[in-house]
Amino acid sequence: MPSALFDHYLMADHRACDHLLGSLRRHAVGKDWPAAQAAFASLQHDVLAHFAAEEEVMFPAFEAASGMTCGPTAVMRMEHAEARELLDDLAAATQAQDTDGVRGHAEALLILLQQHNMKEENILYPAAISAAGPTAAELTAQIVLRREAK
Amino acid sequence: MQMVSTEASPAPTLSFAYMLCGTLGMLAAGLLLAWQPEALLTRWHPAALAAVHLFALGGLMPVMLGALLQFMPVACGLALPGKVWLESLILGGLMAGAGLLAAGFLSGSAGAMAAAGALLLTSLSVAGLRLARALWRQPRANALQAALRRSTLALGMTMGFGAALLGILIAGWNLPLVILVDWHALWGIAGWVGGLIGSVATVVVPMFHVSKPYPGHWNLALRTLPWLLLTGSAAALSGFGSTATVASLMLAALVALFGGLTAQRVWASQRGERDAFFWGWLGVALLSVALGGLGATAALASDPRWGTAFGLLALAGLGGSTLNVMLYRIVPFLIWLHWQRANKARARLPLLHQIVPERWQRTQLAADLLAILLLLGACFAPALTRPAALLFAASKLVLLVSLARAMQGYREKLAHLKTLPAASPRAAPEPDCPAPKVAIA
Repeated sequence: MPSALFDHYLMADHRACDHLLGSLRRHAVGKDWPAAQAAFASLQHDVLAHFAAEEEVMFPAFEAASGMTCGPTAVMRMEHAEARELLDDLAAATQAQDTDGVRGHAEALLILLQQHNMKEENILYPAAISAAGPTAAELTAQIVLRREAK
Repeated sequence: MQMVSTEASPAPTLSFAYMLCGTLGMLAAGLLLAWQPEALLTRWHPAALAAVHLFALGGLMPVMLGALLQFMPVACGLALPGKVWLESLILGGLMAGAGLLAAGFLSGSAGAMAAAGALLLTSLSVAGLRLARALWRQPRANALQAALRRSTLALGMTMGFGAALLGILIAGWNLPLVILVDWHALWGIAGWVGGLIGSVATVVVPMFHVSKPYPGHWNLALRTLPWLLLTGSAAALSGFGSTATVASLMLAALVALFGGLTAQRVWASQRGERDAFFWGWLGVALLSVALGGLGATAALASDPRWGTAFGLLALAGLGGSTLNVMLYRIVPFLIWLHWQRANKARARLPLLHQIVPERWQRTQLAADLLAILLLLGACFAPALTRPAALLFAASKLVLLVSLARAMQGYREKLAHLKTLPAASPRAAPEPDCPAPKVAIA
């Protein structure tokens, strides 16, 4: 189990996904489509696994501890749904080797994820750690386990 | 805990109104310089004072306030209450006040200045108090919120100095005019505009350029900003000129540090593309380094033209160019996001970089940079002023037209999207929760 709590782990994961998105765009602009497709596959896997760790482990734990089921986690779930739609658009553009499409959808996904991450990192994660209290370390282990599940 | 988001943000058209008015204000300042090019001969020329206030109050201020309406909910989790009458009061008062103040400087009319002062102090007090209420309602402030609090205090200080200056001009108050003008300008451009840009960039640059965060010492350095301004203005008012000069030099070092750190991060961007956004931010970073050099020179040199050049680069470069670059991200993204949320039919939408065509962005940003460099040259070679000002006005006209076209396209497409049948039900945010309300207009 990592010594830091899940906020550090998930924030590092945010940054890693940003780099994968940059890598996808760089390869698409350079017309290196095999590398672009590999970057997209990693991006899609990591973003969806990150969302799953939050939606299946962290959000329910926060909702149970805080009693807030229709508050911040509902907003975060809605934004995850929007990001999933953009991943679908990116998949189609990468498959079609459409550089312009990759550039446009990648930029939209980047901005969408950044404003989403800001809210999670500045507001939700600190609140979730506070709500978890002494169980924060155990919750961290569960989040890491779900995020890294094959 | 408070969690608001873009769903809780005001409708984008509200921010768009601020942004269009601000761009118009910048354009008007450029046209005024072209009309009266002798303005750059001395910063005391009535046309110089008119152009500066048109640009700062009718240009930068509305764009900053419009952007904060969207930024505060996302970055700080704090909503700014946005009633239409309140926004009309703020924006209307600001634009009318800036115009009247410019007219007052040009005509020497005390009545116009008094009316402008009343309008500006009212609208800025409302805007500043609303911002302060949101920021101080939180029991604990994170680094960004603390920086925004300091910027809001700097806005208050700028207004205080401005009110004193109006007292001198209208009622003949016996106060040290030159010192008050110098520190009114520094509180405004360094404390309010610079503080806001410096703190927002600390968040925005690493995120949107996918680069490493600013070092911890930058946040510490940013914390010294109001203290440097306080020390400098108090020293100047008390007759300790050398202490005030040291404070000015440290402010210059701070902006140069910001430019250097920003250039480093933008250059090392892992975003995967070197487009207008990349080059625009790199330009802003390099202009900030140059601004630090000019600030130091202006503080030490006896030639007043350095001071004029410093003020010009601070307003049009650090302030104007940063907002210009950010408008090309904020406006297309807000348009795209609200189209996407209304797009239940999953119809094909224009790509983000097609909403304001990239060619227009590149051309306008290049013209803007060239115009600023020419205007700097015009401080020392007055024959350059008119062509430089015309180029500057032309660049802002292109910005205005491209933003207005994008916003018009937004309204038309949004109306069309609302008529289309849903392709498939969108994923509910939460099984037992109503969908978050989306502010679309």
